[in-house]
Amino acid sequence: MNLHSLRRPLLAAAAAVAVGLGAVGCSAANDSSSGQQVTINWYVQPLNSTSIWQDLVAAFNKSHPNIKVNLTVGPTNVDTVRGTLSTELGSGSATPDVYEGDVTWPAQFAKAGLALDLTKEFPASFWNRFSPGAVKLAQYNGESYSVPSWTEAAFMYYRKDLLEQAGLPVPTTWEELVADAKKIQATGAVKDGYTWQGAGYEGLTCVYSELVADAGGSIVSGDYTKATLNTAAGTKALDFLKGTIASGVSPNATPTFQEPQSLNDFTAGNALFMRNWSYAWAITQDPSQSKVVGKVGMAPLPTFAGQPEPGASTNGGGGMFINPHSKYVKQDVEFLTWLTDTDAQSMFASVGKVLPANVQAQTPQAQQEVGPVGQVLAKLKIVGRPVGTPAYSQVSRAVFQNVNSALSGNASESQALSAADSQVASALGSQ
Amino acid sequence: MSRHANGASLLVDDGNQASTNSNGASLIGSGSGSAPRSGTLRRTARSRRRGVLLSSPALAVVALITVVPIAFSIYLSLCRVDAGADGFDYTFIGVGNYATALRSPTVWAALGFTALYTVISVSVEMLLGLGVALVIDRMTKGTGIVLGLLLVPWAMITVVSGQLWSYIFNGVYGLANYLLVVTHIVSAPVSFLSNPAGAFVALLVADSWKTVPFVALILFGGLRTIDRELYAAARLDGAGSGRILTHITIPLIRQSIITAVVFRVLQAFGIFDLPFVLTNGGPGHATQSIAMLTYNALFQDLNIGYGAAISCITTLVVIIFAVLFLRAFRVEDSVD
Repeated sequence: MNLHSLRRPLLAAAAAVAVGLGAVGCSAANDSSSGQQVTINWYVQPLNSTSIWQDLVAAFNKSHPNIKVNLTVGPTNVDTVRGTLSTELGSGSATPDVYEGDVTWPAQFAKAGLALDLTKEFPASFWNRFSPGAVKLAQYNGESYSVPSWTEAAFMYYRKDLLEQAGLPVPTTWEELVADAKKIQATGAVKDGYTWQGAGYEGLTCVYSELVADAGGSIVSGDYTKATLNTAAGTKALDFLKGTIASGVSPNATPTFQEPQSLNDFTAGNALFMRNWSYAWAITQDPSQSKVVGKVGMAPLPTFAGQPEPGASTNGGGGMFINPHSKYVKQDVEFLTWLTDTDAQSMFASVGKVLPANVQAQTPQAQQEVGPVGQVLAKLKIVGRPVGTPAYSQVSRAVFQNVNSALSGNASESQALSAADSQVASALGSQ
Repeated sequence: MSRHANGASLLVDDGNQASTNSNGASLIGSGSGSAPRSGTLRRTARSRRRGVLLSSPALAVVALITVVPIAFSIYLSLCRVDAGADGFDYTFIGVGNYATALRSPTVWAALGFTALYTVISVSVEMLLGLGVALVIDRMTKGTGIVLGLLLVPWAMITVVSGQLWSYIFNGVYGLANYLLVVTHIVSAPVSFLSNPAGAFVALLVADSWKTVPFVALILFGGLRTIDRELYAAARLDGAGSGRILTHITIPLIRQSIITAVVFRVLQAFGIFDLPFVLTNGGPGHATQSIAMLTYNALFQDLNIGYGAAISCITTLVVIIFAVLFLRAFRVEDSVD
């Protein structure tokens, strides 16, 4: 997922430069100065404008005199990071020792030999601190390759002022959402009813996977042997998405929308509903960037009428991987054990304003600190993308390119789905 | 240079012949005629050896940074590459990656798009570039300022200008839409980038904005070498502007045109950054260039062998084009 690409790029870039320079400056001094102390290099992506990574490193270094963690904050674009890390790790570099990766990476990185099998490195009880779903997503062939660190998911944002004025409850089905949108659009209070991500990129795979799950289907079969897109569920999901554009509920330019475009539409006060990730909350409440401060509510995404509520939400968030060539695996493990324990995890909520992955740290207090995201997150029905195959990047491209073709009217729905289906099948078959 | 040297030695030979008449014929035939020439040859061979010796460090660097990586990527394209415990493992699999690539409809679609894009964008940019160059060539004042300004789009990093163009072509609040709406050309914003033709034109406009100045500068350099008296003479002979352009200007700047076309084709065929930023290959995969496929294979799918194969195919296509083009325009002849 391109979650990382959504975060505040300028601040992040500044932080990356500052921290990167700092890391270069100190690494040489420390390795030689004391025989006892071990330096491990930690590579993360910018999370948001908070100082969460720096604060975590300071806290760890203070409490662990024998291990020094050097932080490097990489670029915001998750695909750039994948390119950088795969080149570096693939050529056998011992650093970074620990790196943050996307939730879609474990299978691919495991198969490519870029991530250490963590199953034997941590005691079996270690994994109990996370939700079983999060642990499973970080596995490939039953072995764990990533330690969940913080949690992110897709939400429905809505204009609570407009719904209240119209006397409408928060919609729980897609049919209700469309009807509400049309009603309020007709009054002229908003131009657009529902804004979402329809551009040809990973975000569209997330959007589409959610709707296919709502319709009772999936992208691939559970055992990753067959593509299951060209089905009634796949068609229903695509019908719905196309329908929102055709009926004027969603803007014409939706097939070019990524998160920032939909967010701009929403914060400008032009849209009634928006699908977006939790990072967007803070921006909708920032008076310098938003015209809808105090008018926004968050809820789980709707589902299709007749299906159990709520609708599916794609999960995101970050996991930590260990470099298979790291010289200090013992220290890496110690660091990650600390990072996912309740103290450090509470910092993710209090400092980083994101929900921790450790379930014991997902306290009411933490939920309070994170804002409405924290309260709604527990109600979500998290549905993962088919990331259990090392060919996930190809599967996802087959989905988003063909769905985008259909959305922009360059292919019929049936052409798009049959093309996607055969491309997914060939990606699965190539592994 | 060598012609002058031979000429000089022949003159000396004549002198020799006059003074030593007895074996003159043999002198002319072989002796004095060939002696200095073979000396020249010896000197040439020696200086050539020294030249090779002196330039060999530079040649080695060039080999290291061009030939070695090229050879290595050809090798990669014939391998399956896996990362192992001690770095990459290479398993030789022959032409498997090429077979996969050539069977893939995605690769053919990308090749088709890239070829079409190259032909259209280079043609448009050459025409516009020639127009701009002719205008600057006629300017009597401010040429320096205009040349400097022309460099601005060319010097701007494509990722940055691509981002600017994506704001301009934005389907909701873009500048292009704003202008179209306030001038009542359209009633509602147009989503340029969500149909293939619109996306293609957007790419073409953004690319031309950047590269027309490049073409113009090269052609302007050629125009400056033309002797103005030729124009005056042609006018006296009654040639109109059109005839002057087709019969004097264009033939005389042929070298510049060839240079610009070759450069532009190489760049256009390898286009990556602009569609990456502006359209991300979309809508669907309508504007996915062959270089983007290479990027996807290498850095998203971590499929190094396959990515290298696509990249070798691209290079081969470009080399074939360059050779055919240079041959068609007889570049060797026109050097003389």
